[in-house]
Amino acid sequence: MRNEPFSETRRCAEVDGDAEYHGLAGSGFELSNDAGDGGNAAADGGSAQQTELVAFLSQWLGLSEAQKRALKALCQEIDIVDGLVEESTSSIVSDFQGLAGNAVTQSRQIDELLQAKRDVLMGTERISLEEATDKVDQYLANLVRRTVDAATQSVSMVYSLGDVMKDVGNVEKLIEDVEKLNSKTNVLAMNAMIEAARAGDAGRSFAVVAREVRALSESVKHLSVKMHQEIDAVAIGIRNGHVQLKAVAKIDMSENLEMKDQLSTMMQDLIAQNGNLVDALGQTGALTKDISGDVSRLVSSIQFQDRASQRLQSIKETLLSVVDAGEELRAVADPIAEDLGIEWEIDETWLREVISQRSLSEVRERYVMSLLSEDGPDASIDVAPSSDADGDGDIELF
Amino acid sequence: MNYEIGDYGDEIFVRINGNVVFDDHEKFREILNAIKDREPKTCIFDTERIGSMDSAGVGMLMVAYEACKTDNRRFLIRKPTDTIRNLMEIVGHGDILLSDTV
Repeated sequence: MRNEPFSETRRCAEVDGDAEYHGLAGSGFELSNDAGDGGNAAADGGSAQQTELVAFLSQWLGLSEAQKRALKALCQEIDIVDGLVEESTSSIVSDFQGLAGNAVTQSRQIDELLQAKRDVLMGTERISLEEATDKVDQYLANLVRRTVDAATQSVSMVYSLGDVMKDVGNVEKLIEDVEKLNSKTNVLAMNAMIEAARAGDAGRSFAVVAREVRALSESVKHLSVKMHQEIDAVAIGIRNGHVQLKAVAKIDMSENLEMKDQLSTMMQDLIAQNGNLVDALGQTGALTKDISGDVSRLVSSIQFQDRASQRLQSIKETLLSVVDAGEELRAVADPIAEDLGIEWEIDETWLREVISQRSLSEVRERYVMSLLSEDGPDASIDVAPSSDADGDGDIELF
Repeated sequence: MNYEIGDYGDEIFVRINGNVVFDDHEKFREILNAIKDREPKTCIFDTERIGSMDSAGVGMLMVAYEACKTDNRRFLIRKPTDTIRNLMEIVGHGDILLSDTV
């Protein structure tokens, strides 16, 4: 089947009836005219056909070489693309895996944050914010109750002290009465002493009694003064207590209640805000989990690289098969061409056209190296791109 | 502070006007004495016209309540201000508040 192109040529010759192909093996490539005495005209026609065939073969050999190089260059490009896809995919997968890992970490941190947001540390106990609010409210209510109790006790105490003050006043009056009586007793004692002196010896013993009474009166007077001092001290103590009770009982309850209400409102607001925050965090957590799932699916999707690589290799193998087929054909054709003295050159025009159609400068350079110089880059070869006048490869920007 | 006392048989009606502070304790004592003297079954304190109260003012009301309780008298507060209502509810005496508020 590899001789099909020649079969095609042969068929053409048979149809024309001017020339016949006599096989390739053994005798070489020959064209003969079996028209017998058909005349010179027929011989001239055969010669013209032979010339055309030689030219065609020469052209085919040049094109065949050019196509071989082009196919090899294509195979090289496939390897490059395959490597590029593998490298890029590997990098993308690595990045996405990092992203997925970060998403999982973030999700875990959000969960921890959610748990932390629900609780507060009160002393050594960890309780919910709602419980904490209730406790604060209870503490404040207790504070108000104790303040009211203290105020009630203070007022009761003030009234009791008032009663005591009245009693103290009564005692002071009684002391004053005692002092008045004592003063009279003293005067009486003095008079008794005078009368006893007038009585002479008869009044001597009476004078002793009068002196004793006067001394007793003096003692009562001292005692009375001391009682006065003590009562005054008690009165001062009561007044001081009164002042202190006034200080205790002068708390502005409206301010206390207002503070309690404000604190309660603030705590409720805090709970509401915390609820909003918890909701937002929950949504963020769910979103992060979704992102994590999306990224994982994305990573799986990116595994297309294996399939793409297999297909590229398949294409490459097919192309190499085409190259092999061409080379096998060339192995047959080259000796024939040599026998016939056919000279040929690689179809550089076609190659230049192929190269000039490559818009990526990097690809173009590789084509130049691969197609125009089989052994490596040829600095003397300069091929301008077809649509990129300045050759800077703008199209590379995709 | 000043006050008015209305005597309606078994009920005594006390209306307190103005701010009630510590220095009013002697006037308030007069009210307590009047209640003791008249021996009513029910004491109604109208607090509608009370301006502000310090803790002593609240203490005076509570002393009146305790005194009535000791003497088996009913003690009620009519038209409580928000502050008095809140306080009485907090100290657990919401039951002495009459429903009509200021």
